[in-house]
Amino acid sequence: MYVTFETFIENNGAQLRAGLVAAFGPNIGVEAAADAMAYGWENWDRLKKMKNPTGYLYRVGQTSVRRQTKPQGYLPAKPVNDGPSFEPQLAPSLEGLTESQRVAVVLVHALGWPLGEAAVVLDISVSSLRAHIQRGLEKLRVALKVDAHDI
Amino acid sequence: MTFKNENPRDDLFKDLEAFGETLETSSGAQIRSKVVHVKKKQDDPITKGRVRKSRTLLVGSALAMFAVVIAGLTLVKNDEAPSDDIAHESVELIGEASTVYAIDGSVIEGYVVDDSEDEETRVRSENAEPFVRLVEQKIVDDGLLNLKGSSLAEVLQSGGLKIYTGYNPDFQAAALTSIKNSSVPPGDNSVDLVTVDTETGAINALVSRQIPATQDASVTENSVMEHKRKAGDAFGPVIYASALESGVTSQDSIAAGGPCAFKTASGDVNKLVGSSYGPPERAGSIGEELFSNKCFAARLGLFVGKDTVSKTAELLGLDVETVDTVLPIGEELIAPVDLTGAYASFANGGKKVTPWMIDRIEDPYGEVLYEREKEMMQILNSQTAYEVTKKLYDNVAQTNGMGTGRRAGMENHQVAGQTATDAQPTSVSFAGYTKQKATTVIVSNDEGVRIEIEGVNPFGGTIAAPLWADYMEKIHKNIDPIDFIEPKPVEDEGKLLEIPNGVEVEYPSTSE
Repeated sequence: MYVTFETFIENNGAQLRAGLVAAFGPNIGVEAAADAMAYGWENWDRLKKMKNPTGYLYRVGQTSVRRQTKPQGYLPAKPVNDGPSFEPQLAPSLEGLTESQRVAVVLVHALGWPLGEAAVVLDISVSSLRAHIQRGLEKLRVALKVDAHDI
Repeated sequence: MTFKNENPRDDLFKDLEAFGETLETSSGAQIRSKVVHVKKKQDDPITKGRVRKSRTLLVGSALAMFAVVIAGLTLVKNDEAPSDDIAHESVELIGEASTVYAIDGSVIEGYVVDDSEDEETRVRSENAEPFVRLVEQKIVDDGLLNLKGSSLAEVLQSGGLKIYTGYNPDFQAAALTSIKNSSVPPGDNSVDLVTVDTETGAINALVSRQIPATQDASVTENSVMEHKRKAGDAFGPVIYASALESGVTSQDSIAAGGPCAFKTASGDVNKLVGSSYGPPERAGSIGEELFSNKCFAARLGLFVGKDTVSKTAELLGLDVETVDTVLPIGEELIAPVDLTGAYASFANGGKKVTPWMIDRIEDPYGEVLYEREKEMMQILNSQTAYEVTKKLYDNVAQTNGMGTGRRAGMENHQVAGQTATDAQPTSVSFAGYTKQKATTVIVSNDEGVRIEIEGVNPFGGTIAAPLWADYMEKIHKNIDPIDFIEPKPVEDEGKLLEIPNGVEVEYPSTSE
């Protein structure tokens, strides 16, 4: 239970943003996170009584972009600022996954979130998260033509 | 001797980590977890090798982000209930998980996908998950419950509710299997499918954007209910029903034939494919024409009038989004589930069939918090419904030696249905029904390019219809066949239908 919205954001804001960026890319995801936080601030009296306000706000953010048409190439396709390089087809392949698979794979394997925390942000069970990751990785391997070594 | 690498990191994981760094840089704040790879945890195949070290950095960046949010918006504290809390009854949280029931009374396991159960249970729960997510969405979107300030997830997890749905686990499994085994290649193609019970309107199975060759459908997208598309030739039965309800009979003929062209509302000339059947100056009786003859459908719609067709569409529950056309010829945008409900009405003798997912919701004490409307109004003359069905039946059975839906034929059940194929085509479909079940199957290329299948000309009749038949055979395995029966045969010699002057224009030559 959080007393103030500020405390809640201190502890959970990054996870919320990570989830929405993983699902919708940096531009749309950040905007969705802003919408969700604005909603959270407006409705904090109600949200603070919830068991999982982060998951609730993730769904608020998800709803705010659900009906939008996502442009192609909403995930970054190449490194920025001399960051480590990666396969150019990775971003398009991630965009080819379902939203659930994409957000699960990116949160856990690209952003390094532990399964339990990712499941809380997405408001789903760990087993559901695992299923999405497994399916997403399988599809990525097919799309990118890479073999599995350690899954 | 060869030594095995103790921590083999394949390229995909390395790429994903690099991608995560880029994603973080692009989003302008710390969103990655601080992780370090130490050693594999044998009990967790997914997170092996990853241990979180610290999240200290997250706090500062989250605060900075919140400051940006506040700075960019003028916010007002809102003590009013949010829009998704519109309500019928209140819900009391009593600390017991809710239960979602299938139409056969079995518990839907998809509320939480549980991979600790046996294989069969796991598969059934995975199959059900998209449907259950849509049930949740429906509860929120339609305000079926007063959530009293709690999130839906909280209410479902702690409210002890009983949610009775129209879901049929066997049908859903059959749908996923038929799509998986169909001739549709994966890649950019996906399949939507929805089945509605023609007697009750229960949505028995619903698949949104399943990737062929997999059993992987979207959990969060609801393209069957939300994605309106051009109905194309599948809109023909609505025009025909309008005509019959206006006094036209199946023996009547239209006083025009051959290719046709019309001006759209914006003034462009819209050329359509003319009748291939009957003399050019006059088509055959309208009962014999095919809905895939676009000039026939256009001229019949012109005779009846767009307003009348729109009213019939509304009666059938079609939430039609109008487009720039002066003709009711299938340019209208319709959600697949609504089209399936309209076809179910034809199967059900003209009674309105409204597709539903949730039958009722009870609280832990058995009090009904929500119950769907069960009244089914007679919206079309039963003879009209039969005539439409007969025409769609002929399209599959090829009674007149022609028809686009022959690949949708079933072994023991009579089938009525219509194909639709868009211009390239990027989308092909078959909407049809037996006496008991109505189903629409849509195969789309999500990138908007032509559907390519080796050795197959892409049409609704060659791609969607066989998939439809394969699935329908599976779900009718334990359903006794019931034939379509004419309520009261009509004797009529037929008359000539003159379409209004001044709408149809001269058909442009090919050089234009």
